[in-house]
Amino acid sequence: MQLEPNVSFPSSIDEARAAAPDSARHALRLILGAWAAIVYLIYWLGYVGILSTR
Amino acid sequence: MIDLGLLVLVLSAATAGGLVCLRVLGALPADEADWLVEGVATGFGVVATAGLGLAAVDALRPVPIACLGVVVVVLGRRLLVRALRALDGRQLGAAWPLLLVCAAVLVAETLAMVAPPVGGDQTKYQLAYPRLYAAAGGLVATPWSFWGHMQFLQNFLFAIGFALSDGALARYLNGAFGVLTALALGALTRRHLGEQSGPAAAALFFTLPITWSMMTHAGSDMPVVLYGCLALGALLDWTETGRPADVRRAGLAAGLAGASKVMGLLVPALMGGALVFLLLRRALPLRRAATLVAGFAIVALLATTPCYVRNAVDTGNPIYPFGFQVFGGRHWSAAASEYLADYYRQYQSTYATRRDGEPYAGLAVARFPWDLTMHPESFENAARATLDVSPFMLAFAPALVLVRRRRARVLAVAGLGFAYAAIISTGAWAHPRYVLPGVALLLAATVPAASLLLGRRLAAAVVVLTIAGNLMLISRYLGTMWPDQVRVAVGRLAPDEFLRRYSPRYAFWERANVAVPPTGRVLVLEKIPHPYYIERPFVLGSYLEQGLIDYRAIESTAALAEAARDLGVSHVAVDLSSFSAAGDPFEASVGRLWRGFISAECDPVLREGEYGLYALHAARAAVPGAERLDG
Repeated sequence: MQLEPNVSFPSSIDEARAAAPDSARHALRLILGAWAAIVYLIYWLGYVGILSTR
Repeated sequence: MIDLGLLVLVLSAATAGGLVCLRVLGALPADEADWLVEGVATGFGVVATAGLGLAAVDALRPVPIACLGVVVVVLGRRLLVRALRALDGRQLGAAWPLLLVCAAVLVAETLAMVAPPVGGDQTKYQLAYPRLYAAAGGLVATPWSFWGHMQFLQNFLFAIGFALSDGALARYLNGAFGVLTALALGALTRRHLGEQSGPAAAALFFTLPITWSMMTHAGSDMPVVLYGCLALGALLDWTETGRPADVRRAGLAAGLAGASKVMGLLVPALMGGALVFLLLRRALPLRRAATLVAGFAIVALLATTPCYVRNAVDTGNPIYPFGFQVFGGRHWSAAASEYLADYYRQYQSTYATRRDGEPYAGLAVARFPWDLTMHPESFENAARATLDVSPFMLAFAPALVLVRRRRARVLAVAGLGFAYAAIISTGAWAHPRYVLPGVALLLAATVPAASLLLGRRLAAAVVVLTIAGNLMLISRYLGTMWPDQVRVAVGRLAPDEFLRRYSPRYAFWERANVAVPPTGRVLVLEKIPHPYYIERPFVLGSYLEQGLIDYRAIESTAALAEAARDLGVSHVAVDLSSFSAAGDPFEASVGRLWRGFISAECDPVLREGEYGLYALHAARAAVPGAERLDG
């Protein structure tokens, strides 16, 4: 059986170099998205009195 | 309804005047669709400058104002028609639901504006002195309060409003600044940051609780936001078109921002710096670069200076009472400056406890963006929702790193917004209203950033949710005073009854105005007086806000009585709670002096709540020399 090429896993060092920025960008997006979600969450929890942000 | 009709007339005349001004300066926008907002905003500057001029020659009356209005409408009628014809409703596209939401908010705000003003600085100085000038038909010397010289562009627009109507016109004009600001911010975003982001940026800003608060309480911060947005928009226009007209328009708008309040002077400074930076990067021929800088600077200077010149003439200090060590100033002193600074420090400390903090010092100011979002109530005596700026900016500002398309422009808008907020919060006062020009620009820049981070659909959903959250917080206002404001607007509640319910000061002055004869003169002994409701001639005797009565030199009740008689005072109104105020030794000594003065030199007339009215013993008739010292 012939395996389908795995596009998400680098098969050479050159590909790994090219993939690194993509994964870094993905991680950056996750961090930025998480930050935005946390800000909204704390903001509204503070308003409804569940969480003190002092 | 009459005031709404007058508003339309003032807006028409202002737009015509503004467009004429822009044409004379060769500063009209290239796209006629942008003329209307630019015309009204510039026109407000023109009307305000005319208001100051009319007040200075004691002609702040309906007939001269109407004559000026007719002249500018005649001069600018063709430009006005072209600006109106250039509007195209089809450009709204999918943004019409946002427009409907904003229209509903505006209707709710307009109803609130109809009722008489209660709360905030508007009854202290933003509306009080313009109303005084309108009643007198010209400028009134007010050496008994420095707030008489905290009268800038918008205040003389309000004075025109009061000269035409003692109703809601001045408050409508204040509200118009909010509408114009949202439109200007939306246009800046649409033209330079992303076609699709404009309506979202405008709606996010317009529905902010702090925007509601500032549109329903007359103030000076919204005009700075408006003219800051217009100045930056024009500067970015120039980077695309290379038209010198855009640089001159940037200078004009930046100058009008500087004319709106002392902090607003940072706008021409930042925009001028940005222009010089761009010129250096583009390596334009020196002569051409110098011409552009001169065009910016001269127009900015002309737009900025009238109110500062008035202050310099009246007091010797253009930014009275600030900068006393540099400029000096009549009826003020270094000790008064120091005591005022102490008061502001105390004020900041008091409210910083709401976030379990202290006034920012050094690097602690880095916490300000968080506190601004999570604890806007920790900056003044206000509920959290009053100064709320929503979580959108703080949540998506870091996503600016993702922006690739129009990167330089997005970062320029965000950078200038950040620079404004950072300089004000470190150099002056970290306060939500004072940094709002920077917040608005950052908010606009984060809209395309949020879209890149979340994708267009999810970002649109977050914008809608944020606006819904804003509206929910605004609805908190609706449960307090707003129902009664609506009753006043529809004629089911008398304005006097409304004021009795919400303003203890009005309840006092309503009786005191009757008890003091028209020929009398009232000395108001209160730390922070709000003279809006006083209908008799008055002088203010605060120990914080004036240096005319120098409490550092008055050591006896007899000396205070003599000083009062020299001012032609017949009656004394006192905030009785000040007798026991002892925030510091000076305050305690003034409290004792006032108590002794009232006991030894005055007879009681009436008491209402925390206020008392007294008749000064052996009060003389009004002295001619003091005729212009009061309202």
